[in-house]
Amino acid sequence: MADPASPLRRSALAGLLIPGDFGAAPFNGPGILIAERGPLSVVQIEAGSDDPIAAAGEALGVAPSSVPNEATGSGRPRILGTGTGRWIVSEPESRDLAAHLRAALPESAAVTGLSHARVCLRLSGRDARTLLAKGCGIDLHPDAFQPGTSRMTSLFHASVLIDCRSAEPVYDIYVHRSYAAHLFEMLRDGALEFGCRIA
Amino acid sequence: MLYIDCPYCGSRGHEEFTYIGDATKKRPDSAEKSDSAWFDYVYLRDNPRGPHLELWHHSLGCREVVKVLRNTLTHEILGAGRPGDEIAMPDAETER
Ligand SMILES: [Zn+2]
Repeated sequence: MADPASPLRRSALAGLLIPGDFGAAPFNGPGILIAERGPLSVVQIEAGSDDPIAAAGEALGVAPSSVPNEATGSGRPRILGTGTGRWIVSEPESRDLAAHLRAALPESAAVTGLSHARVCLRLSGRDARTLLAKGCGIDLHPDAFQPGTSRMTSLFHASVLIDCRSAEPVYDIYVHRSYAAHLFEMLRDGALEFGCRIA
Repeated sequence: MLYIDCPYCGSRGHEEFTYIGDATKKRPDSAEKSDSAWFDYVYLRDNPRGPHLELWHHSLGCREVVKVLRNTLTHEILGAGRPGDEIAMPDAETER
């Protein structure tokens, strides 16, 4: 059982993510809200010769979708498709999710713990779509990128997984830990013109 | 901008992809002993003017290999699918 309060778990944005209101004088925002989510358990499942969907559904209470880009679960856990036969399972850290899945899934499935390798930023606010469009080439129109789906793409040249949580809009952006500082700074700087609240 | 219809991700800009190479080359059987067969497989490539089957890696997306039919003259993307998919070549008559 992983210790959720382990002092070894240190945010990749420690010292960089400073809460407050920035940019856009007069501040008529915030047009953008940025917050780090965590600590999260993030685990990748990759199917082998046996289909792991049924077993994963039993172990998690919600089954991964075989439809490309379709997300399932409301957060505890949230399951995102990242490729054919590949999913990311994410939930607030409370148990050893990787061990739980490893025990439940067929032997042929590859289960990889990524909790310490990913940072999750939550981006929301009325101008969130415009900010994403500054650094991302996918179709962000609300009809094209709908809640309940996610996208593997690049954002400010960093490889990311973007989960559309709500039409408000609210996006959860998963990024490799070593790119988190770069991505956070690009998002913050890009958000200044809209008024940016960092929490 | 070229848009490639990735079988998993859907339509994406070509800057998310990395070009791998010719998709028409078939690896010889591992028991093949002829040097010329291996030389052909490793080094020899046609340089067609017109439709060409290629492999692209969706490196900034699902990380899967996509087979793409691209017109090397006009850059038009004529089709895309998984590496094992058959992608029909356009008729020579209707081409150009
Ligand atoms: Zn793709």
